[in-house]
Amino acid sequence: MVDINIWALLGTGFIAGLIGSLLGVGGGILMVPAMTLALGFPMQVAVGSSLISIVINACTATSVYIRSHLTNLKLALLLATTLVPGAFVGGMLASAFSSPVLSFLFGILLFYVAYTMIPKRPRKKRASAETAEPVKEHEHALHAWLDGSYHDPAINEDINYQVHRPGIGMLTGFFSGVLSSLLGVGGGAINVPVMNLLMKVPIKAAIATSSLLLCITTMTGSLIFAHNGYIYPYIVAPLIPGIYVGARLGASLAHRVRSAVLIRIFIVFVVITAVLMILKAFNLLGK
Amino acid sequence: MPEQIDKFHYEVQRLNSRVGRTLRVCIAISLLLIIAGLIMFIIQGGEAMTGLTPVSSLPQELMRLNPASFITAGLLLILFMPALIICMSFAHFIALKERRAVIVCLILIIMLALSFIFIWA
Repeated sequence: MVDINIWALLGTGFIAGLIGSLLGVGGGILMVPAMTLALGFPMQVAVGSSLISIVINACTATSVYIRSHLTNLKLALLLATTLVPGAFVGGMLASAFSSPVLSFLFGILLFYVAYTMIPKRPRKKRASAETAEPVKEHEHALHAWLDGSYHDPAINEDINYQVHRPGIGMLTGFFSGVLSSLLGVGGGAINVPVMNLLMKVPIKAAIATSSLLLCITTMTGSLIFAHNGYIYPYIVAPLIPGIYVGARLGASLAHRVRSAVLIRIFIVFVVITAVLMILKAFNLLGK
Repeated sequence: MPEQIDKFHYEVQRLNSRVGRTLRVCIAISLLLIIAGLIMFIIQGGEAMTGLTPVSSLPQELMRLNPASFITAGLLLILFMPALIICMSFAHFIALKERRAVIVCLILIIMLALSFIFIWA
């Protein structure tokens, strides 16, 4: 039987919470390897604990982001309509596909995402991280209800933005839901670049909106794991205070640092995740 | 038209504040329950791989000060927070007569209800 090291679980929760809320991802990619490789928990227990922690982490971050009006609630709800069924389909497909092949493909996809997010030589057009470009008037009328605005204290400006290509965002959201369920990660690593690069949502609003999306999509997965008996109260309980403190710290830091810094941190995170996925595909990460 | 947009933004910000406040209250209550359960487990000791307390026996186990039941109650509250956000948004958008947002919320509520039914079927 596995011994519980409360301090190690607390520390794991803190680091996952800090990084997760800073980048708008769930932190599961940190928690699962830490719990299985370092703390010796069975994989199902680690994944179940990680999923429920993603809900807590994302809800904590969302409570901070939403107070700062960074979260685009309507956009999150719209994208969740395809993410939730995607996550459900992914959960059902998980047993039908070879996990190493999918992990490898996901690793490659993440490298591509990291590449596309590398800031190019300064061009006026590239300023989309802070200011959004306008959509054509006739196209905008259809989805003007999704537009958002927030105050960015880092540059002391009110940012008003229009949401581009919501249809493509929803379609990508479905596949993001499928992939996140198949690979046991929250999906923030896909949601944030899709919102920022394709839908032209400023990076801070994209991260905050992704947090709310994580709350909604991982809830279903957590319920399935709880129902299947993979969530243990005394293993999850020490993770939670750590996650809470880490997530709050991460969310307040994210609101203060400049977008360029966040993008760099996010690129590093995506590359690390990609390497971990490819190692997992070749079974070099341990069981 | 600009007045309408200002009113609309004000209402969205009001909803944001309300959702943020509810989340903070729910997180605080669930944290209290989970930390109380953890402290009770440290003091009382017990089997580490104890499962979640079944919902049907949760009130009795809470009365008996079973640490796992306190943690289970906290976790359940956390799991239902996202559903609460959707329901709050739904009610708010109905009051605002924001048809598109109401339809989106309704689709989500139906999807989540179907998921729960599917999981527990």
